[in-house]
Amino acid sequence: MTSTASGHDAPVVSVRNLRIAFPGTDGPVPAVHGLDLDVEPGTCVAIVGESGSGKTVTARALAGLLPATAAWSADRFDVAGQDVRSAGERTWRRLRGRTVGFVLQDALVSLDPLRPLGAEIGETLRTHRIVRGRGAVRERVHELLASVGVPQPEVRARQYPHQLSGGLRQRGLIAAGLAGSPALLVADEPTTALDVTVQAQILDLLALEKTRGVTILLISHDLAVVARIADRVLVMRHGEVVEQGAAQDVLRRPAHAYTRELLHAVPSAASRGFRLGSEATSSTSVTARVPLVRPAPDRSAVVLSADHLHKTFRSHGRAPRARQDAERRHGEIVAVDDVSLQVVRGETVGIVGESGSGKTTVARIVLGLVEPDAGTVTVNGQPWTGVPESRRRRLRKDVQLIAQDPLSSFDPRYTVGRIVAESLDAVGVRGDERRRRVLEVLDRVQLGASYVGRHPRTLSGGQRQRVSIARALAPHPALLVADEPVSALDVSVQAGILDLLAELQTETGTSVLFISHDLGVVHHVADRVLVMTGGRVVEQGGVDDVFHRPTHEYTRTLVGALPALGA
Amino acid sequence: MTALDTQAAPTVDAPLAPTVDAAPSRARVGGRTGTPGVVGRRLLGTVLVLWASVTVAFVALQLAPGSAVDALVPPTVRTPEALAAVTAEWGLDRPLVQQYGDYVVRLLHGDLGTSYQLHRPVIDVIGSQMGPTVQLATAGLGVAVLLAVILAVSTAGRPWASRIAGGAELAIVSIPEFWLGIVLLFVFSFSLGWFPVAGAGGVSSLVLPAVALGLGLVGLISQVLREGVERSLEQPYTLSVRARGVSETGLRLRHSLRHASLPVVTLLGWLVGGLLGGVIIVEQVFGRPGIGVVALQAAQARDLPVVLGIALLSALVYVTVNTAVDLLALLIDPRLRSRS
Repeated sequence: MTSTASGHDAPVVSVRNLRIAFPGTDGPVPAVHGLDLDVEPGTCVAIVGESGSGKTVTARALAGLLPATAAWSADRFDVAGQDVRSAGERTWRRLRGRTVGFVLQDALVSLDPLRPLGAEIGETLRTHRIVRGRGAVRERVHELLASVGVPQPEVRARQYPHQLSGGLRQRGLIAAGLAGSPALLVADEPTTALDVTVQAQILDLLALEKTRGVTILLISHDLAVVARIADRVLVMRHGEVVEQGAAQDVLRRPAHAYTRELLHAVPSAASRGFRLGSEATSSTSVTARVPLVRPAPDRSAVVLSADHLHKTFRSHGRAPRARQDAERRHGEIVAVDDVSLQVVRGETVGIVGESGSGKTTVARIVLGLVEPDAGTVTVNGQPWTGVPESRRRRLRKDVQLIAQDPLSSFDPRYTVGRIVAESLDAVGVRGDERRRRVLEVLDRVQLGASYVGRHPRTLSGGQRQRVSIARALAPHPALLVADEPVSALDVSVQAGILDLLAELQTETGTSVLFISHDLGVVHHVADRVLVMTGGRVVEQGGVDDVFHRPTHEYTRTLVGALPALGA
Repeated sequence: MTALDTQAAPTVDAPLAPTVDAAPSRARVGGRTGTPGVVGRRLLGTVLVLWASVTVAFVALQLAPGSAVDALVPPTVRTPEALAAVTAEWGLDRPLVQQYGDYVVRLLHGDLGTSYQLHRPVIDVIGSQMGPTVQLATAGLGVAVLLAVILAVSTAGRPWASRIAGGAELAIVSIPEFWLGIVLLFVFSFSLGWFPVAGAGGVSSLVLPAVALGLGLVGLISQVLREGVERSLEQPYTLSVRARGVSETGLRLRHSLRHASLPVVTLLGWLVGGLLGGVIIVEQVFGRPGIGVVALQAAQARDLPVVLGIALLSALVYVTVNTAVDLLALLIDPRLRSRS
């Protein structure tokens, strides 16, 4: 889709040589240097990049919302034909909401939790006096909510953020952004933290708004999300635009090595059996995938066997919050309903499902942290459920966890060495033997001996996850339970972690239970997959079978909602 | 008990759920499900606390040195007729259980006994003096809240302003009410003649006592309020609000203040207790009629029925205020309504 709307094609945004810097301990730290950007009316321009690329700072600058400490300059900075380089707070206030609408990620924290949704949307209308009078504002709010696909707008407008689902919250946030009919809608990661089916709906909504003539600047870390609606794409790294062009050109025929690396690092069906990281990239040739060699799983050795698991939580219990409203029946939530699974030696079994599907509860049962109401689990043939903790403790070394957020799973006062050693204390490995093993596993996860004395807070997200993997690996476990291990990581860091896990599995022959909401990741890593929804397994089998020839309707919805890179 | 519960109330801005797991659900329609239950439990708690204080008052009467008659009749007026009258009035010759039952029933009818010093029913003594005290306490609290809101909202997040305001607040908190009252009287009444020196006639006589009573609380309230506003300004939603073109003042007044008011409302529940003490002093300094004078005189004359009546009254006030505070918290934070 090219620029279709309005006759005048003066760009809504025209920026030349934008520079933004933040004060650091050794002089200013540049966040953006020399960015040029034009957004034509009625189009969608996307800025793609990883953390620290400067994409979010650029978005903030367009709404005049840079932190007070930021220093910025530009040769040209026009918003809706107005030079805003020397605009004061008063001018910006007039532009915000009216000329530039802003949609932030994660609507749970981006909406005021103490105010009903309608009040938040009405705020734009009242601030700019777009409609006057209580009744008129209310009516317009309902219209806006209806236009972004919120059912029963009169009811939803009166509800508070915590009473709405993630998808409805995000729609409400978009309605608030659109309330002033802005010339430009800036959407900063509008689908991050949403389930894949909800993400697809939100992207459809943004595409619909584009056909209605709304100009969109989309900020995202996810190339596949961008591919669905963007006309032009800018790829940013370290504050610079490394590549830009028509979306299909950039995504299908990337010219810059970094863009190729990013595309390459996205796990999917196509990347299965290959490494995601691309160390052997020559700058011109198309990157060849490096195959991963993994021995076939040993079908005769069953590491984990779970039979007919059931778990019901009282409504006061610790069930995923999303389900408390959805499935509360007589104060009970059925979290896991007749789930059976087997993991053999050297195998990776994936569990996919959306929030509240029960996948995390299954993980907790397998970890021996939650006792099932019915059903049994055995680990290496030994009973694992229904036995006293004193008996289970001796087996615990065999089942180790890799958590989604490693930092919160570390004792904040511990050093890296002590964190890793922790899992060895439990199995009685002490002294020199323990020190030797800590260094060995740290080496395995490509962190050298110099990391032993470091504190996790001083590490990057990827390094923290490596420490977490080292800790899990130290006692020679038979099974690693990885609960969303890469969800919080940038795509290139995620690639490194997934490659590492694959290598470690080849070297140690350990099995992995891999829990994720990301179908691409699961398709990349898993041999077999279970699809869960509402506490039940609706489909299972080999990954290619399940994802290419889904038989259950829910799986088909999931697969259909997956944003694809095309190609 | 109710009062203690309020401490758990202000979990101000904690995100309710891990964001990854916060997606689709059929949200409940209607919004206020669960509120009647919560309110009902609170009110039941209130009744229980009141009943407990009544019981404590009765036990105190029984445990006072000597017989209950000795405790009830001060030595100055102890005549055989008086003793007989009290014994008859309180039914002190009957079994303890029956006495307790009678006592509760009498309280339910508003009968708190008779003051020996004033020779009037306690309920009348207290009732006739309630008006000025309620006026003073409300005005003092109003002054405190108003000043605190202005101070906190205008200085929050502004390092120099909040440092200066913080210093001033600390200074004011450390000034005793009686001293402040005397200074105010000296400057504004004796020297400038703006306000009357004593009495409780109209608004002008209320200004100085209310300021003397309220200033001491300003510091405390505004410290908590400022911290709340600052914490709220760090929340991601403030960026959304600013992106709508809302001014800084609008953001603070319409959004941050509401978030910050949660811990303050809880604090107010506690401050009311302290307020009663302050009222007694301020009433003395400004020569105002009110409960303070009654309480002081009753305590000096060992007029036990009046003292007990005031104790029950303050328990009632305390419990009522704290229940109101709990309900107010529910009104402010919709998230508390759906939790039990």
